[in-house]
Amino acid sequence: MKILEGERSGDRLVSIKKVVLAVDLTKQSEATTHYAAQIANWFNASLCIAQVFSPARWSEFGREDAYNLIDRQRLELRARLDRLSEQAQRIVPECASVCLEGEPAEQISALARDLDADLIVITGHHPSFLARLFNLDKAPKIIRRAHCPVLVYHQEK
Amino acid sequence: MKNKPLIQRVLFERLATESYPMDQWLGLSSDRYGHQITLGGGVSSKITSVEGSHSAGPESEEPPAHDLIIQNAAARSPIRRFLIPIDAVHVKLLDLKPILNLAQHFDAEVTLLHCYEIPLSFHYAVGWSALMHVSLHREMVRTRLLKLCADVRKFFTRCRSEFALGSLPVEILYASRRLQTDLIAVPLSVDFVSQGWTSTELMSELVRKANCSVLGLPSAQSEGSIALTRHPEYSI
Repeated sequence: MKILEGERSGDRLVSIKKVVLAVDLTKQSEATTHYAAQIANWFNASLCIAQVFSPARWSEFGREDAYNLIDRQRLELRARLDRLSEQAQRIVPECASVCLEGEPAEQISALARDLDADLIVITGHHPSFLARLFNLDKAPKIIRRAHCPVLVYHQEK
Repeated sequence: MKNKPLIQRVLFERLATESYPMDQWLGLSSDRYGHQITLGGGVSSKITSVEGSHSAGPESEEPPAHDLIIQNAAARSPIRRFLIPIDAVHVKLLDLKPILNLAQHFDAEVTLLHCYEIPLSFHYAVGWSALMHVSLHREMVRTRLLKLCADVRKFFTRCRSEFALGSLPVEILYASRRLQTDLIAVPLSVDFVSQGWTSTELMSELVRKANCSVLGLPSAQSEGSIALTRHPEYSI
């Protein structure tokens, strides 16, 4: 019985049909998008670029100005995400983008599960000592929660 | 032309008469592992001169060289070298199958790496026989690794193994730099019991420190549940 399950998993992993790319819209995002698009193209898979917007906690108690500021941030991020999506579409025609809100690791793993994605690609950072101390790095959290393989991309120096 | 050495003259005549694939026109050739090897300067200059005369012909139906270069780049796999750290004592062929299938699809070559650390139980061994026992144990593990590699090669020929001594993450990172791997693939279904690491801990460490991409493959049965139960602080 175990052998059958193992073989089934092997077959499932080979057929990569949907790739979810999680971007944080930092400098490395462009390179990660290109890399994910190359992989999706190699497997003839579709690509979904996701960005998670997590507004600051103080905004919950803010005035109208604070809400306007958050809306502006949201629109700006959306525009940057669309630009990335356009770049990826040159390599992968079947490419979509989605803007989510909430805790990044939760949202990305939930999206991957909803889409039944076969691979998640995320950008890898070399976190500072403080980031490690306070557990701010998102990649390990996504890996722990994801149901599918997670590829952490590090740009070559 | 007559002043050129004989070998260059023969090569020039062969290039002028025979048709060569694109990678050789670009001065590239590949070895038995698929590594790209650039030819020496003298040969490259000859190829360039022949290419010029070939593309200049009005009846030439081949697309321009620039287009072919782009096509060639698109046809190349984005990941060509996998490094798979394993615990050769506990890992089974079945655990590696998903990664090997993936590597096969990427047309990549695979290196299985086992990092040997002296087990804690050996710290209590005393006398001259202790050294012999450690040595025997090491050789036993190395034999297991070689056997596993031989089993893998039955269906995936581009596989080789490496046996390292030392700390697991350090040796993985060192090997990935040395072998210039494109990807470190960690099977999350199997822990590194011999080295005292869980696969998720190792994965986190590699994600933080690696200079190349890192891939974590969850087990088919767990669907993420193993990682969540081992790390309750991250549970949803």
